[in-house]
Amino acid sequence: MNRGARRTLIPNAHGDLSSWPAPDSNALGEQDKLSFLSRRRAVEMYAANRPYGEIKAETGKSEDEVQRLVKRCVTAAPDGMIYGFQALVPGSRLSGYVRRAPVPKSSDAEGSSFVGAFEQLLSRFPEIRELIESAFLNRTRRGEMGERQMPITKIHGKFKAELIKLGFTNRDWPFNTENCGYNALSAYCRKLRLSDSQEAALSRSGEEAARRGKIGKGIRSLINARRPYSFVQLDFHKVDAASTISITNDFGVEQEINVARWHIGLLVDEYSAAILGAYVTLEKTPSGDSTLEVIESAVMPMSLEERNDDPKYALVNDKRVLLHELMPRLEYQCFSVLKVDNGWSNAADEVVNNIMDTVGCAVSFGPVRAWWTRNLIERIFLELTRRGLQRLPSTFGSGPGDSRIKKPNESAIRFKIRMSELASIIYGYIRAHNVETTEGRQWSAPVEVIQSALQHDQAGFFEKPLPTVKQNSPQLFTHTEIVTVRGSVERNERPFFLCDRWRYTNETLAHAPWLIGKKLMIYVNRRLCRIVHASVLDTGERLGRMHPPGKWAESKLSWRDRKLINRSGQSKRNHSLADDPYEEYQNSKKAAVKASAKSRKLRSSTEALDLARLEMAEKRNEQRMKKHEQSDASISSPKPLKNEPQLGHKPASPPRLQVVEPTVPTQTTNPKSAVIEPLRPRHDPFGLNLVPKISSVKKVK
Amino acid sequence: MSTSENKQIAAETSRSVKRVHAFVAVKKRRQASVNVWFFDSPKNKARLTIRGNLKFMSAVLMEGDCSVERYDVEPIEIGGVIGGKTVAVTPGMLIHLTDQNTVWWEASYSDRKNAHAAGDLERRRALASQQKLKFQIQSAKELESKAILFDNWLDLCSAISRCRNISCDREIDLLYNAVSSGPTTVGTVLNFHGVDKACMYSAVANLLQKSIITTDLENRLLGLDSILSRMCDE
Repeated sequence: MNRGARRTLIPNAHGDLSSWPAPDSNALGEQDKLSFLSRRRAVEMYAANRPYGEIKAETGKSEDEVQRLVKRCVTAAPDGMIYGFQALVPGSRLSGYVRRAPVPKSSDAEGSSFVGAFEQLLSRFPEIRELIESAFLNRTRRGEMGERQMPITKIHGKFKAELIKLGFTNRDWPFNTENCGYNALSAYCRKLRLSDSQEAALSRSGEEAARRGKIGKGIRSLINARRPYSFVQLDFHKVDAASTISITNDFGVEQEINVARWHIGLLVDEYSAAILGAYVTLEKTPSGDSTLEVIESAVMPMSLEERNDDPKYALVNDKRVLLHELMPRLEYQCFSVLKVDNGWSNAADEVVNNIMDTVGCAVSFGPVRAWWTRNLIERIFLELTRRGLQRLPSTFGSGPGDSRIKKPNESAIRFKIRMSELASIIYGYIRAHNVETTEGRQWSAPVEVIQSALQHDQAGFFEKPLPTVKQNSPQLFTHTEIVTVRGSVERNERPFFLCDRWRYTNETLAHAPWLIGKKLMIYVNRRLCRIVHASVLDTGERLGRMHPPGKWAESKLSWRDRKLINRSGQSKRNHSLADDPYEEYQNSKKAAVKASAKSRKLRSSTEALDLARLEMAEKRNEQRMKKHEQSDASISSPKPLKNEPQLGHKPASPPRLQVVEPTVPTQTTNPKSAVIEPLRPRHDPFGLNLVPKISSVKKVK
Repeated sequence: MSTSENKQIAAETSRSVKRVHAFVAVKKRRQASVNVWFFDSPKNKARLTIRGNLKFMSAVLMEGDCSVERYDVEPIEIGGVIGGKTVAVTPGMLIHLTDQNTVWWEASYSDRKNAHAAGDLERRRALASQQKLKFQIQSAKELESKAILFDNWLDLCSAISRCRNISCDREIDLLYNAVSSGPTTVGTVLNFHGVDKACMYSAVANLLQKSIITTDLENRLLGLDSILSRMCDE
């Protein structure tokens, strides 16, 4: 059998045809499939050294055709491999069209065509290609200022200018066409965008688009949640709902303050999507304490009595909202990894270290501005906002442009929408979320997923609670602070410290005057601020439980509520316009002195002394006001009346003494009037405006 | 288990770890796209700051590798001469084995197939060879098959860390006596009367890490029905 020359078209490295890339022939049309199979058979017979005659008899392919097909198969592909059998699919192109014929000078020439002219130009002038790609993709050298999203028209202008510099005339392509090569340039830029979409995303669509390129790369995620409580996510969401906070103090008095926005923190289990913990914070930016509150709510259970009293549970009949409330066997349950964002409150040293010390988990901070790494919790927030809060009349909506906004502050006050009510709506939603089925869990409810995991041992999930010691530990998730011991040995004032304006001490501290001036680390129970423990900062000596003043010994205030009440009370006092009785007394004295000065009668020494005393007191007040500007903002000196004459003279020496009949000081708008009208008394609960009658003694020279 | 062995295990778990400066580590990360992990390593008895998922996963797997004595996630620079030039390079990790050898560990990411990355790895390999260190490149693909093992050790490490500074002597003794009598299950030991569940699970984790007991951690998630047996029984 004549086998012809040795077949060398297939390199040894690609001699194994079973490793060649091959298409899915079932995905081809019937005609194409038959054609492909025939071609493939021809190449396989060639590789098997079958004679060309036999190949032609079986497949109908001539020697030239077989060699052409084999060459196509072993052509290098862009990914570094060969095309393999993929090259045999009818209609498949191995490379783009390359124009070889010269571009005609005029479009009027018969049979003229400019196909491939643009690519030919770029091949001849690589600097043009460089110019276009740099402009489109904003590639700049060091020190250069680039331009993002340069319009194609501008790039076209640069393209034309560069061609003119290279000596192109009106008879040369693209100047001899209608659109001057604009269409070709535009198509080339579109191809650039597809060939390197990530670089193009940054320069043409912006940073957010470029960041999105990190999602959906087709690379399998390395670390996934495989059981409940392995990975949990924590985040805070700003709630755009104007509301009135109503806090009841220990006396049952309600205090109300208005807030424009507040935050809710959630802790969510990645595997089941169950909401494990929640906390509502009124801070402008959630602090580390708020983060710890969320964790505590997930781990440390609240008794049913406490939940009955908590207005947040008002809309839930059985008072079971969070997962461990729905499934009490998961009280104190711990997790392996806590995922948080890069907010400073989460990154605070105290927060990270305390959580790791207590729960034993690892803490993971995701990439910067990568919300998709915690997409589960972001979706829950979105749902919570849509279903609950944006529907209220007091909503700020999604921003200033939201057409649903209708005077949210006024609505909050008019409808007296309390934050406790808003929080109860949120808690109602949390309960619904935990017990309702969801498509994200194949139409199971989060609580069902957890129950199932507990029932099946292979799921690897069982009770992993905190050690008993930590469950009962007073330092678990408490608010910690460093305070200074006050007191005085000289004045025999026993040692104590202040925390949020409450005075704490105990027998140990009270008998330790050497601790005055020293620092203590105190641990305040967040739920009951009356419970405080202290240790000496440098030595670690435990001082035990501290006692607040007797009147607060049974206080039910939380640490957070006490702060709010103090802040609210201070703010109200600062804004108060209530009259100051002493100021009223000063004013009345001044008015009396001025009135007697106007009548040019000699003043008694007593009145002069009163005046001097008043003036000194006024000066002292002014100095004090300057020091405490904030707290005394409501105190203001009375403005002088319009027509009131200034005192013409000031006594340099005590005036001659003369017996005068004391007159009741009055205010009058007519300074020339001799009638002194009685003062209309202002609000005077303690009777300080009633000036006693003063009798004077006349001295005769 | 002898009292001294028990006390040693208890002592090793009770050492307190140095707190991390989380804020600084998070804010000053060089690559914004990298995860930062804070992890309590029972093997190193330290709180580690680890950058990158691949490195973190490898570190957790090493907690369960009895051939690894300890590992350094932020080693110091290693210097040498490459192509006539003096260079200093910081290894990805240094792993100290129980046979006194040290391994230079590097991560290989699938989306960094370029000449620069390949050249950099070769330089590091050359430096490791100069320092007589073994060189290991870890790719994400290789770790895919160890996902279950990783999850189990993550869970076990958190159990150990949770009970650090708490005495679990009683639980360790009970567990040891139980497995000495024959194979038992995790559920059985956790339900022993009067034990603290957290401490007992920590005891299970500790003895698994010290290879005193064994169970299948590669093919299934550790659960209540996982069988625990003495290592010498295998």
